[in-house]
Amino acid sequence: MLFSSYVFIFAFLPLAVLCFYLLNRHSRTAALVGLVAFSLFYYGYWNWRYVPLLVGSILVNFWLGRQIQQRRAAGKTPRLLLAGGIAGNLALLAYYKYAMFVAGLFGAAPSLGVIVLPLAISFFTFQQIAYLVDSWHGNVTRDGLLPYAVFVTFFPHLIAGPILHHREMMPQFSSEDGRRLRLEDLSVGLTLFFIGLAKKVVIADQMALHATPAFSAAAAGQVDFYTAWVGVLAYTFQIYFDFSGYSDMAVGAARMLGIRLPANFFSPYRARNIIEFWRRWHMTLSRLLRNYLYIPLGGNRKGPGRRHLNLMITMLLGGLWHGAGWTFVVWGALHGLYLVINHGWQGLRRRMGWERESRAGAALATLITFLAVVIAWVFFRAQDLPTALRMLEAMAGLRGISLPARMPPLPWFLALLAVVWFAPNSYQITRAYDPVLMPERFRTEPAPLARPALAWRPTPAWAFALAAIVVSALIAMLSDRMEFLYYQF
Amino acid sequence: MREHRRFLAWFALFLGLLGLVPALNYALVWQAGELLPLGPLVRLQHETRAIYGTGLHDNRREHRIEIVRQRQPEVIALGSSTALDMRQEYFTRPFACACQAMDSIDDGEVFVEAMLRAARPKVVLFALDFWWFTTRRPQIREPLRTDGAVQMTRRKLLRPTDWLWEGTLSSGDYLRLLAGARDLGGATRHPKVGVMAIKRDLGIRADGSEMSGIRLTPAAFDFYAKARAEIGEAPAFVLRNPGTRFGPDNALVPERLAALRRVLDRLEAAGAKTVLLLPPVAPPLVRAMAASGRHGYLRQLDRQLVALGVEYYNFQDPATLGAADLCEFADYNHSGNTMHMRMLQAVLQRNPASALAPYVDRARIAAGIRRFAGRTVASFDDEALAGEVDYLGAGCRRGTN
Repeated sequence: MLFSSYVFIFAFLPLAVLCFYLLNRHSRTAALVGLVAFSLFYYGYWNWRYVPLLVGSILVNFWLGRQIQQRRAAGKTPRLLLAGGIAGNLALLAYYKYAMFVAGLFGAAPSLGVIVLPLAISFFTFQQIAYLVDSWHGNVTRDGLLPYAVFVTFFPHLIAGPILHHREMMPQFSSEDGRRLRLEDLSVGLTLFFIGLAKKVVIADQMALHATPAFSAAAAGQVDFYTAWVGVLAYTFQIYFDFSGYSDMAVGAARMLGIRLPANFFSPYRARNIIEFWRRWHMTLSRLLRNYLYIPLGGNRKGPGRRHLNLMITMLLGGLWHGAGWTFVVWGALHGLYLVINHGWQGLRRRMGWERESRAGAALATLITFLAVVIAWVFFRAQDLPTALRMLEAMAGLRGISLPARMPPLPWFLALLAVVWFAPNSYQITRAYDPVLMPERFRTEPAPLARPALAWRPTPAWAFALAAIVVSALIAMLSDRMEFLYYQF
Repeated sequence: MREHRRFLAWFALFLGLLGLVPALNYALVWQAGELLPLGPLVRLQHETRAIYGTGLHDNRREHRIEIVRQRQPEVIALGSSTALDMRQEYFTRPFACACQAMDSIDDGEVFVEAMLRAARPKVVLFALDFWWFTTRRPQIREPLRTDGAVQMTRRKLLRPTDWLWEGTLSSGDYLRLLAGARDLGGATRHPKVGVMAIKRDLGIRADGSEMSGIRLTPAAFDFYAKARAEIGEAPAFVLRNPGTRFGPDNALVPERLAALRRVLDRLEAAGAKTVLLLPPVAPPLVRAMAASGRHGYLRQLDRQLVALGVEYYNFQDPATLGAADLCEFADYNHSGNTMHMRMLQAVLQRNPASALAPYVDRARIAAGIRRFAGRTVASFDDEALAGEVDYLGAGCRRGTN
């Protein structure tokens, strides 16, 4: 059941919100049980056979967490339990997600048959590994199984994130606050949900109509300069509006239930360097990789050489997290390389005293960062490495340069560039109502084109705008719908 | 809190206002049965004799495949819309008209594959359009849809508003359809599914043939205005535009004849005997093409089809069927029910050992030809509630059914 489906919008979501508040009147526990039931139904709607896998994973990890917490409290260091827990989770992920890839490397893939990737396995596995690690570090409050089960299964985030952290979520689920429906939550939640829906179905799905044929042409070896640039720029916008739209919908749906999720995107294409890009793009994954991979590897504490190695390892594994394929490995490696160069450049600037930045310099930095990200998307989207290389050849003009007399997507691209570079994002628009949990530095960051009129308020004008967005999105949904890009991660 | 309550109330109000038109349009097409999946739709057609005339979907081929799947006919008529008037009533064994299902021989190749997956007919009556084999007509090869042939799209949702705007539907008709009206034309006894059937009595019967009830109503004068003008200026129409189906100085494309050969081989391999025919075109056009002296490619095509070595009949000139009457045509290339009966009769007269011989109801078509001569709509079982009008302005006295 996609967020952008009529059954979700008109049946599942209203019913879930209604039942949650009705049960909440009776008791918080009943409401949480209801939420778990709705979430498991939501998960099982795709393929009920994987519900036991999800439930089993929750029970085992909760038990392991408890054991680790109890042994620590008894003054023991349960390394073996932690290692076993992490290994078990990774083994499950490896079987479902990477077995075919690894077997393929040794020419044995066909003997494995077809392994269907359970929905959201990457998300709930990483989330629970973080819980085990924090249990070991003693950073976990001893909440019960029910809040833990809601934390893992909570349907707004279950399928494609944001990746939640138990410390920011479990207190919200356990809290007795918010037992009654707050109309502010409903109006802010509806606004964010439908802004996200419009991003997905009005913009991202339209961009896919340009991106898909271009990458298919590249796969067939027939891509030219113009087609390649149209395809990759379209994909650049598609993936942003698709994934950030999904995140907005998740945030909106959660807010209707009185829950604040962490921000996952904060105008990433506005970043002036790659380090900043990763603070704004898929923020909850970046946080997870930083806290549970990069820092344990040593982070920047063991000198520049080791830092660069750690960055490369983190980004390579981050690439593999997105998918089992060489294109994802190269994408991760490319971003690792970008980060190494970026850190090197920043070090050089500090040493040379070049730290002041002019407006022109900032604009150039934004443009260079954007182009670097665009080039990396080629690998992320291409079905294989030869296709990606053909796309890059064509983009570089190595397959000839010619432009058609008319370029219909160009005005759209310019308009979308203006939006991603200058317009306030969903969370800036609704800032007055504290829409998401987000790092302090973003709370006050202004958008270049932020105007009081663009700030969301519960006014008739915004009610009209939202209604127009809803109607446009619902009509746009009638075209051939596409799945969210992050659905299978 | 009060401001949020007001916001939600405003939002609900605006949503209702802005969503009203799409919601009404959706309700209208739903009421008209346009959103019925093809499986249940064809079952309903078989149970109630309903005709299906959609105003929204281009699902002709998928609909005919579903008819074939559910009827499991022994005889199938294949072709474009030029064979649409071939009906179950002319046959003694289960029959289906899988017509209006191809616009080219390449298209036909795709369709035949799908058809053979749905049923195994004993005889296929394959009506060929001669322009499928000429250089100036584009070849189309569309795959059959797998995404649900009655899928709603944005354009379809807004179509009822277009109909209102263009005057295709009056506001009264719009409201009546919205209220669930199932018959706005009143020309036939058939129950109707789809806006086209409900409004114009124009739709496909359960056997796949077309019920052209509009020809029984005064609306036919407007509906056939273009056809009337084209037939009225037949010599100019034939010669004026080389790109038309009837244009002069055309040539045959060997690859398309090779595609036909492949289709015939595929049918034979599936155990079906094939009878090929070239359907008739309106007499004024036949005369104009003959007079032009620039349509020699038609004779070449005839020779090529003979050379295929399968049972084949050239009925392009309706005079060969013993009736050069424009009144048995609906337009320049669509003959009616009666002319289709004449074709079957001619096949059996020329070749008593035809593959069709065991299946054709000779007595019924002979009676039908007598009863419905000079008409395009043959009303078996008194399905027509009115007489056919003279929509071509040819002085036809078609009378009541």
